[in-house]
Amino acid sequence: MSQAYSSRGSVSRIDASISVPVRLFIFSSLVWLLVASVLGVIVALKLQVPSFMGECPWFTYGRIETLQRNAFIYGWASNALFALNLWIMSSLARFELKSSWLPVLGGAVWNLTLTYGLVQVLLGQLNGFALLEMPKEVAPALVVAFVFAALWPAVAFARRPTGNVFVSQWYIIGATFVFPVITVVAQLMLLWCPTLGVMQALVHSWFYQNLILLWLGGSALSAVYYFIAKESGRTISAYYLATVGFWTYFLFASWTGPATLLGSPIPVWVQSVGVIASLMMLVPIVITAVNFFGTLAPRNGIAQSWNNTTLRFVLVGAVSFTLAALLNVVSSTRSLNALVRFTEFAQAQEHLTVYSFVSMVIFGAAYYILPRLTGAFWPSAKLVYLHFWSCAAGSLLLVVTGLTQGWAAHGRTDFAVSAAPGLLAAVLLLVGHFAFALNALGMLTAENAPSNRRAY
Amino acid sequence: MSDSNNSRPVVSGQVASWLGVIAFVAVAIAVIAYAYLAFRTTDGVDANRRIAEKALRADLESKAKGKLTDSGRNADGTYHIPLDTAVALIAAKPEILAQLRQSNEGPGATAPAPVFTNGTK
Repeated sequence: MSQAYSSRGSVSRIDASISVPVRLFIFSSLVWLLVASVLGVIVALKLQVPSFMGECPWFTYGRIETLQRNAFIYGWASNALFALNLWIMSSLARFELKSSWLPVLGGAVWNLTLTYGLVQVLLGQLNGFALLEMPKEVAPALVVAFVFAALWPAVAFARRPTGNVFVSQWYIIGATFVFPVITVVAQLMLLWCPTLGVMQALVHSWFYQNLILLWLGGSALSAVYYFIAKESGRTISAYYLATVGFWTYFLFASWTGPATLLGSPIPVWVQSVGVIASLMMLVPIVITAVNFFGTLAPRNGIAQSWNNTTLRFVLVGAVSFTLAALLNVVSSTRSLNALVRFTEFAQAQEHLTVYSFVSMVIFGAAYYILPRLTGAFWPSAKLVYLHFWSCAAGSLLLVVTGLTQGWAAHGRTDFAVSAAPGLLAAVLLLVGHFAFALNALGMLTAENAPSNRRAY
Repeated sequence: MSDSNNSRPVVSGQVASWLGVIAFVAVAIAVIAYAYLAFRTTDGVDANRRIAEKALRADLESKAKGKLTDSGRNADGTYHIPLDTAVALIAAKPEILAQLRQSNEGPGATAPAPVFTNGTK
């Protein structure tokens, strides 16, 4: 497919049309990433030295940890996925955005609302539901902002010039529709017209799993499919299975919530539904694994991917997705769940999904998109290496430590979890994120590359 | 796809598609919200049951405390005295505990009579 190029020389007309909103989303995500990284170090430090900043009520563990998680999910990951989804869908659907002020307005409202909500959390105005802690007036504003900022991939899909649909487009469309629906319904059932008793836990588990697996995970999976095919130059292996993978993923992932409530006082048949849904997740896991690794493995493709910056991050993300999903299946069985519930194990699983999978894929995508969007080179190759190895090592340390400590702690009340590896991991991630932010901000503020050559 | 054809209303078309997507999402949310609000229990049955159970627990608790602080006759004909009085009595005359144990070992004078049915044992 040939791309038309704008007067900016090295930037295609499609990229130029979405440049402003995508730059805004990426810039916002970078700011939130740095905020979340600093807060992550403080959280880890407070686990090691509980009296650290203990005098100030703003910096109590509950508030800071909530702040960090929300800044990471809604600030970093969501902003980055707005940019990623819009870019991929525009690229696949040959879509030139004419009203870029609408997503820009949405992005501004999103970030201002998020800032307000997190300040309220800092002041102690927080709810008891994870990732719904911000005051209830925040959610309607976030949904409106989402409508302005993130529904444009659906518009691009609706107005695509051909009937061809690539698997990435399915995942983006699914993820795009999931977020506003689950947010509004969960807010309604938990905060505005609250349901009673254990139903609250059930609704919350449904919201949480959908947010992580479908909004974040679905968007990231679309990027994995896109970049593996694009960067390796190969067709997706067993592509005919991808349809089954998509539908089974969206069908079963949304039902896995009750599996996180095993052992709690909800009806056993509801828990069983969650367990069965988790077990059925094996279908999309196997299919995505065949699609991803079946594409890359032949003809020394894994080694070639390792020499490609984007594919290296995406490959780590794809492996992490498969591992995280398999761990979710295994730990949703009643006998194993009884051993690891209430331990670090669950946190490590979530970290494997949200960071090692979603964030690493976003990083890899950024290394592909930003040069095409700005027409500039990445300023420093050393910072790219520092970014990858710091984040890979930090993430690995966090996951392995959490899984092993969680496993070792089962059935024991005297087990002391060591916070030192978590602190080291948080510092490593902070270093990696600063390296990435320096590079990315250097690009975003750079002049366009000379018009007589492509910059990537 | 470039839009070199100026006669086509690209901008309004994109915004129209966007509004269509918003309408689709809004309908989906409205249907779910309506279903929830329509079918959730609003007659307060659960809330009333919880209030009644709470009142029952409070009543039983006050009665139990009353047994410890008041004196009176039990349903089986025995008597109870306030806990403080009992403690003071035992402190003043420890051998009373032995007497109480003895009285508990065998059927007391106020033990309930055996119940006979059909005129036979």
